[in-house]
Amino acid sequence: MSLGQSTTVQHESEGVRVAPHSLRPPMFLLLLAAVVVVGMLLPIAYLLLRAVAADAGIVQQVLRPRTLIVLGSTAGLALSVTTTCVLLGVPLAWITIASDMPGRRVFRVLTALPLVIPTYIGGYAIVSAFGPRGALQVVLGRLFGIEHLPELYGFWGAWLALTLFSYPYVLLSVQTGLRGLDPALEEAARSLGFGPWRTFWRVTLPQLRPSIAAGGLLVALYTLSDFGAVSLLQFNSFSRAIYIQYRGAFDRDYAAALALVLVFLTGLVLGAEIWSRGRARYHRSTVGVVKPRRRASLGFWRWPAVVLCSSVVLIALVMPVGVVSFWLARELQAGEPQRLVWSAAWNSMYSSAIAAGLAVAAALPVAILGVRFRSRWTAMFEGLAYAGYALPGIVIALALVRFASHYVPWLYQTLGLMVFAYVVRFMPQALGTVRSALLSVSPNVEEAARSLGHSPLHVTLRVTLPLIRSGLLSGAALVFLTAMKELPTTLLLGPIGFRTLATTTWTATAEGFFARAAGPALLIIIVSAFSMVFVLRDAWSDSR
Amino acid sequence: MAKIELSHVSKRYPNQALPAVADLSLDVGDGELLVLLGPSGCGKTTTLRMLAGFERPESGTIRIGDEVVANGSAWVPPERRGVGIVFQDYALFPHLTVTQNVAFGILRLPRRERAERVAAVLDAVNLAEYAGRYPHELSGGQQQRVALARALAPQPRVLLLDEPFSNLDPELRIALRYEVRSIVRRSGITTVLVTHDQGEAFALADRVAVMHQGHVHQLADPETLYRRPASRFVASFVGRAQFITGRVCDDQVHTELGAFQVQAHLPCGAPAEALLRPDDLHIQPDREGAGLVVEREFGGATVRYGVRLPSEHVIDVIQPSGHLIPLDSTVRIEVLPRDPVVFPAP
Repeated sequence: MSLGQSTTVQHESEGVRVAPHSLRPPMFLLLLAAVVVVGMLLPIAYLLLRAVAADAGIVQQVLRPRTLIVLGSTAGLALSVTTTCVLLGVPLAWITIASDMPGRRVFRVLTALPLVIPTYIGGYAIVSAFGPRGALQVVLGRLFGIEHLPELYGFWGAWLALTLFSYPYVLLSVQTGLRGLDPALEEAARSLGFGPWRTFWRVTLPQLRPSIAAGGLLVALYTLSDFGAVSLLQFNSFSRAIYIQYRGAFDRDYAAALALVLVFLTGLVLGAEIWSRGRARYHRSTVGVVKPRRRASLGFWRWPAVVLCSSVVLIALVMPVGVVSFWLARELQAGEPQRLVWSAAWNSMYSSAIAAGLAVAAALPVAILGVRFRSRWTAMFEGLAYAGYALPGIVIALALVRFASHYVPWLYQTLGLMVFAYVVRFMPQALGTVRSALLSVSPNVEEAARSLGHSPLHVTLRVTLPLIRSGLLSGAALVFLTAMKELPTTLLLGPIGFRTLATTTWTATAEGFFARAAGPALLIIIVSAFSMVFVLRDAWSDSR
Repeated sequence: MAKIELSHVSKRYPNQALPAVADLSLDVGDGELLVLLGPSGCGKTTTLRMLAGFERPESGTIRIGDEVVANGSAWVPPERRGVGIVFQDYALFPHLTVTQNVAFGILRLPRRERAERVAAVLDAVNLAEYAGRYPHELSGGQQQRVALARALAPQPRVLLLDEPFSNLDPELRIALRYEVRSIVRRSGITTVLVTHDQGEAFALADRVAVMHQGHVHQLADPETLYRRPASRFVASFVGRAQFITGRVCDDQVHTELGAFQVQAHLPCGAPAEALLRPDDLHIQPDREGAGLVVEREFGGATVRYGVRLPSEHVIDVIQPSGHLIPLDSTVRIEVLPRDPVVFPAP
């Protein structure tokens, strides 16, 4: 349903008597929200139902040694990536927030920027730089006649790519934690005779534990759902195994079984995240500490700190952008036509734009219900609407492929189904921003409008929507930018011959045409850099 | 213009043990200004919101004019009640100018008439020259007057004011209080105002309903409330209350400040308390007097004395500051009203 359609639905129910805020929510709102929630739950519900309905064979399939090997390697990858991200992210966060390192403001932005590089582009950069036929090998071969480089594919490549491009989750979360920390606690520890190091270990770090846990679990979830890095670097984790099963079309039931195990693993991690969040509230210090933090003086150590920050930026940001630019230059020199890139860019743009508009329209009723008509039920509605966020893209895509081919074959491999999958996956991002925009509008303003003689629908259109317009826009922008980068959903659900920037990059890389992948990859990096505006909006300020 | 009638209205919020409003009955006369006064959580705002139609009572009937706006089956939504409301935070539309805010409730009027009405109400609240501004460009007092103008523009049957002065600084509060009163009086509109400030209630109200825990304890004009409170709660909430204890005999309570008539019947020998406000008492230096001045607080027009009685009890006395009585003076204490209110001792 589009924004326009949803208003017509509201129009039809205008004559219905509508209760005010503290009473029952209006029927049209409940209906719209219910439609949205059912849509959000469709993929996972279908997958689970199929599993329950399937014969006992599915248990045997799940328990195949092959599955257990994939399970082990996926869990191992998630664990090691998370560990290295924490080891990298925590010191970087502390250096850029709490120390007097020169250039810390610049590094605060630069160290967070690798987040804009999707792992399939990061993987592409690594493969095309260090892999066989890659840039490094070309140079070394020309200079020294070296023909072979150490093996890059498999665990180490996937681990490297995922660490380099997802450590900012830990970094950003710990930076936020550090900002919220009451400096008085550290000062109290110092006055009680603790040196700077002991203060850090005994006071600061324990306070940061919830932020570290939250960031680490984001990394773990990201690793579990990652498709780009593992597929390009050929590490057999669930996402890749599912994709190979699916593409090979040998055994789609087995692919579904694998997807279920992945959902289970994700559920475990999510449970851990919810648990850690519950504790985080407990740990949280007073919000809005005005007192500025005194920066730790690094002395001589500021130079190693600068070296550390620079190397991370060099490897995780300059390297991939440089590699992509290098290949693009070669492609342009060779005079390859870039027409394909522009049509892919157009495809990416308009499919993402539709998804963004729909996601905001879908988020609106759920958010209004959750914010203005708060109850246990509406809170549950809201919670369920986040389902798509937690599920790996490949699982949603696979579930929808199977659902469509069984029940609505005319929808299968249409733009509509792909966009629907985008909305399921990215609507929660819009929900977050729409929700906080609504929270900033006093319900009194809406009530004032009602007592001035306007119907609920009229109040929504004339008062609420204009007031939350910027929230709606940034929600749409977030969804747009994320949908632009989405790979597995597009690969599985895109209409035949429908190429986006993401699929073009991935296909070209997978086939070894590095130069051909460069144009779309660079475009994606540029576009996603805009999304960082939302993340880094207040990173620049040095006061808190 | 219309009268308001609430009869046996109850409202309980989910997950709350006590009802916010319990079996409340209340009449507001045509053109009357009624103040709902009470501490926070007494149910006064809930009552106001039920009148506006933002809350639905569980039982009871609410009438505005001759129309039943809420009872067991009928329900008139806020937009069809003809009720204007001014919120504590004013709730101006931040995306609209002053003119657009005020015009919001009269969009159905033809353009000319609308413009005239907007100009007239803005004129009434002395904001004509701010018509083109946005709310954030106005001071708190100006925003408050825009909110009033917006509520009055559709010429509602009833005006509701929810703590309208609480966000203003004290001086402005008093100035605006009189301005609002004269505007409301001139329009002759039935008005209900909610406040927890006794001074505000007294200054504005024709009648005041003192609420506590969802009940109306007393509904009366300010003077009656002050002089003849119906309960100890009303006595303490409305002004400074001090009680002097004694024993009842022959329908009189005998205290160290004299014997006072008991209105209700109390058995002989029962303990009782007479309500004496600081301004009910008068002291004069007198060597033979029973009181001793132990505190003195100069307050400008008046002085507050703390006077110790023979029982060691210290009572407050407030009188004009014309003749100051020095500390440690022995004083004679005079009780001005002949029949102070007497309550049985708790």
